Amino acid sequence: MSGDTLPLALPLARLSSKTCEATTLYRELRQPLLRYLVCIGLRADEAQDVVQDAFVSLQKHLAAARSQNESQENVRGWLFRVAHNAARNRQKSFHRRCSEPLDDHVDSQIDAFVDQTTPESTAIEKEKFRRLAKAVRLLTETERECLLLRGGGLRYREIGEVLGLATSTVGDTVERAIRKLAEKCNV
Amino acid sequence: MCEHSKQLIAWMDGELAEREGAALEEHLARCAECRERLAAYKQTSAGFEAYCEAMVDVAEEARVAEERREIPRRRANDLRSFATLTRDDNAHQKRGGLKPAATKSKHLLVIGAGAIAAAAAIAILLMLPRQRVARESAHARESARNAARTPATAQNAASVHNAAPAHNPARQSEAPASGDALHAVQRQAESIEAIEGAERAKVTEQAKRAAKIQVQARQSEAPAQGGTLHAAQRGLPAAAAQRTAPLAVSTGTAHRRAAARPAHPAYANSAAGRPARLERANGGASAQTAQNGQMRNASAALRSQGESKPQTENASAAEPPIEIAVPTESMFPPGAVPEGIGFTAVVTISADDSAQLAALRQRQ
Repeated sequence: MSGDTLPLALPLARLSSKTCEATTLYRELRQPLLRYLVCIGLRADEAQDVVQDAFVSLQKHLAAARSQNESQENVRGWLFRVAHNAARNRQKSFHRRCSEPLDDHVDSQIDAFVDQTTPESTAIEKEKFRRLAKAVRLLTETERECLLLRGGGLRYREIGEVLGLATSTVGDTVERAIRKLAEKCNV
Repeated sequence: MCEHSKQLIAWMDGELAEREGAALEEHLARCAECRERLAAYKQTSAGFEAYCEAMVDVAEEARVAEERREIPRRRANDLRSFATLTRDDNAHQKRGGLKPAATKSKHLLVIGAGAIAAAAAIAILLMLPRQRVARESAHARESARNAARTPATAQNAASVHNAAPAHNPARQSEAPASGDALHAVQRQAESIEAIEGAERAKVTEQAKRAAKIQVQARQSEAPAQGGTLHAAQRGLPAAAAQRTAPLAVSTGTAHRRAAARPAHPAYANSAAGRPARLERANGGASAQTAQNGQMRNASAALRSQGESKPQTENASAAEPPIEIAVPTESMFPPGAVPEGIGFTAVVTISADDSAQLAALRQRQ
């Protein structure tokens, strides 16, 4: 997981003290944010816009917190929440004009993610990936978002803050979603 | 199913408390089913991550593909606009002009042509009723002039009517009808004279004198030419019609007017205003119905023949030009026409109601 390399709760005061730390945060969180936004249905260019807006908002937020000598934990959760809300607003305002979902095209990327040492293993891996992709499409929106945020390195509490759910609910949802996927993939 | 299996994912994510985590680790060492399940969950999580990465790649590919589709289209548009500008430049330079501005391209021509077409269409629609009104008002003026002149004709007819029984008893049956028409004409002439005032009265007096002289001359020829009396008698109802016709025709058609007037034998021999009427009856109605430019041409032609200027022409020439404003927003999409650019189309309406563009000027 890319998010595993990040500190899970960055103190805001420490970030605001030095600009380079904010830059580091941008480099580490940009890709998980982009992936999350794309996977919840935004186009690549829209996702990039939202990520940029989210980091601009983060800068303003940091400046405001610095002026008031406030410290805020969970900057990552804050950033994901801002991006999530912006994405939902954009999807509402454009009435899902972003056309067809990209799930149907994921199969074209199988070759990049399967073990291609032998033809047999390649075929097995491809089949597993197809089943997984099919199972992902069966997940509910909340389950999918929970899994995506989990994949972005967020804790259950942070996921709950982003999605407005209780931490226990997030745990149950994540467990249910992974079990569903595992059953469908027959692994 | 093992009771600890529900905690496997939370333990995997590090969400369990330290004590609970230690207890689960002990259980995993003993339970093969939970170990298998944990491995499956890890594999599924990894698979889901791969799925998300694939989604990002697909989105990126879609974006690149869209850009690839956009680039040739933009390039084609750029080439097309460049070709248009180059062609306009070449054409302008061939005409010997200076280097044109880049904005004066084909678009302006298209916009101008559209504006002309719209202005012409609206002008035709608006001019048609005005033409009819102008014709009728001119006709009313003409009838008034005729009425001012008719007493002379009526006097002529009356004198002929009084003499008729002696010279032509066969025509006696027509005399009462002619007498009624004469009285109607006289009443109408009086009313018109009262309205139009002293100037009309002067014209009437002059016309009366001229007509009296003519009647005396005819009476002196009457014994020798019996047909002259017949002609005068026949002219009486025609003269009445001449005065009443415009009033009736004002609600009728121009065709009836044109056909009615030249039937009067004295019409071609009467005094002022005759040439215009004759020209109109011979298909010169365009002089009345055309726009000011044509009217001026017609009057110039008349003046060159030494004739007086028709009264109707003065009335039409005095009419102000009609200006029709067509907003560009109603014809073109927003932004198609640069702000501040407008055109004035001078349109000529001919006799057959067809419009011809005389000139197009850019409005300053």
